[in-house]
Amino acid sequence: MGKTINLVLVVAGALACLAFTGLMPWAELGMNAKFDNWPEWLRWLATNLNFSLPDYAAVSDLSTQWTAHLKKAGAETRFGDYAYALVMGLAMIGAAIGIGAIGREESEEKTILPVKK
Amino acid sequence: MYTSIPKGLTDLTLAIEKGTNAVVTSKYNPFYYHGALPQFYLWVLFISGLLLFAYYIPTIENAYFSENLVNAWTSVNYITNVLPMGAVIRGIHRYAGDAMVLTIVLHALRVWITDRYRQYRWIQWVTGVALLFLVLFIGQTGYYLVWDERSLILTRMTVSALGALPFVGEGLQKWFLNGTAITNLTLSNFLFIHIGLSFSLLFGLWMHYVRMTRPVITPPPAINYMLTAVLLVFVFLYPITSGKMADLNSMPTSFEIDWFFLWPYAMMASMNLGMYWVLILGGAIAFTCVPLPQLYKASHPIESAEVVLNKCTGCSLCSQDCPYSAIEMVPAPAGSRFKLLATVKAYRCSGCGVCVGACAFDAIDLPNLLDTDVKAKIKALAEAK
Repeated sequence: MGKTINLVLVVAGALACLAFTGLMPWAELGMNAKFDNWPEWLRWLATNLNFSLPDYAAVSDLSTQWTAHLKKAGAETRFGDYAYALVMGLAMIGAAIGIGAIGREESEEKTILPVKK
Repeated sequence: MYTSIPKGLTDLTLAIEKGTNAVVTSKYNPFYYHGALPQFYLWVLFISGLLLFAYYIPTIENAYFSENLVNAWTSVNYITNVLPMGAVIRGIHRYAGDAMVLTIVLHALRVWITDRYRQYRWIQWVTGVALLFLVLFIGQTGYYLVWDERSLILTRMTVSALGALPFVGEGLQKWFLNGTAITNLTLSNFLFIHIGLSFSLLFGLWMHYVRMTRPVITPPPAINYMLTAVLLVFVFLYPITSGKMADLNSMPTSFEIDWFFLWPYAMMASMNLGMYWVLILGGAIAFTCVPLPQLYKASHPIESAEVVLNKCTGCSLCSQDCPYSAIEMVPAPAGSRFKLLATVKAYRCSGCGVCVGACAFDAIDLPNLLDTDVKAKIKALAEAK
């Protein structure tokens, strides 16, 4: 039972960490990942190697909501930086949950008393 | 009545710790790292402060004969609104300061609740209180550096408060302002105090740890991640902003208060300065003296171990066993049959007696608890049974 919970926590933590880490480029681009906003070298690679850069259309609502919140809270510019801080923080929470779950298992193992032979 | 309060709180603390252990296990229980949490935030403050320092300009007037105004306020504005990630670093610095005060207070509370401040631990308590006040003062100087209207009010309030102190007030005012009025030199002084005193915290921490056995100063990575993540989330939820630039010709009267650092100013605003100093100094002295009654009442006041010179063989067993690193092996004096001699660093010794047990030659003893007396007492007790 304990091991199953730990496994679930490790997987959930890792997925959360990966998901929020995946949002970091979007945040760094100022929460707007249209093709022209990506760095020149990535655009060159995408064009020449024929692959597309993600446009993060699925999270475009977040951009509106987060910008509105930041403006209301008094931030003036560089909203993407604040978004980057948030997604990095959430990714770290995911990582902490995953690492903690792995550590929990080690910690529990130590409490098992050795059996006398 | 008094003893029942800590007893009840101890039971409550232990119950909370037990509950937390059930969820995260003892390895990740933050209650077991309560002393390490402020230290973690100190490192965060050092690193983020270093980055801010690179772009901060400590002047009131225009610096470098610039075309556009360049001073403390505009440099902070540049960090916040123009520099990539500048606002995030500023936010991290600010919230790490708040978190440090909060975790220090929780640390002190837990130490008090669990009675870990008595006897030889009085040094940890007294240095801890000194460190807390130092952290508060350093944090306040951080608010002056922004040089917005709040900084101006705080500077003027501090000058008034210092002036109310008898004998030393005038001198302290001059020291604080780096002169007799608010000038560019004042901000240089604030920056010096903010950074210089921050490094003196390291010396204070050394004093704080010196009599501790195996102090835990680094929480495990998962807790570190969580501590950092909390800061980052706060940076997003409550972005740090500055007020209007300070104008020496204006008289701003109200400001937004940060209760972690600026509560003394709220006190100052609500009472006369004489009463303010009585409460602040009296409170600080009372807080510092918390371990004193127990120290006075102790049946065996702490006396450091003493080496019996003509018996010490220089085997160094006592030095290896001492949990406080209080015994140093030095070259034996000329004429000795042995190469080394044990010496006790009194300021580190807690009088625990581990060295007495380690010595096979009866060459070290506690002056107020002699080995022979202890053995005699044990023998008497055994015979009585």
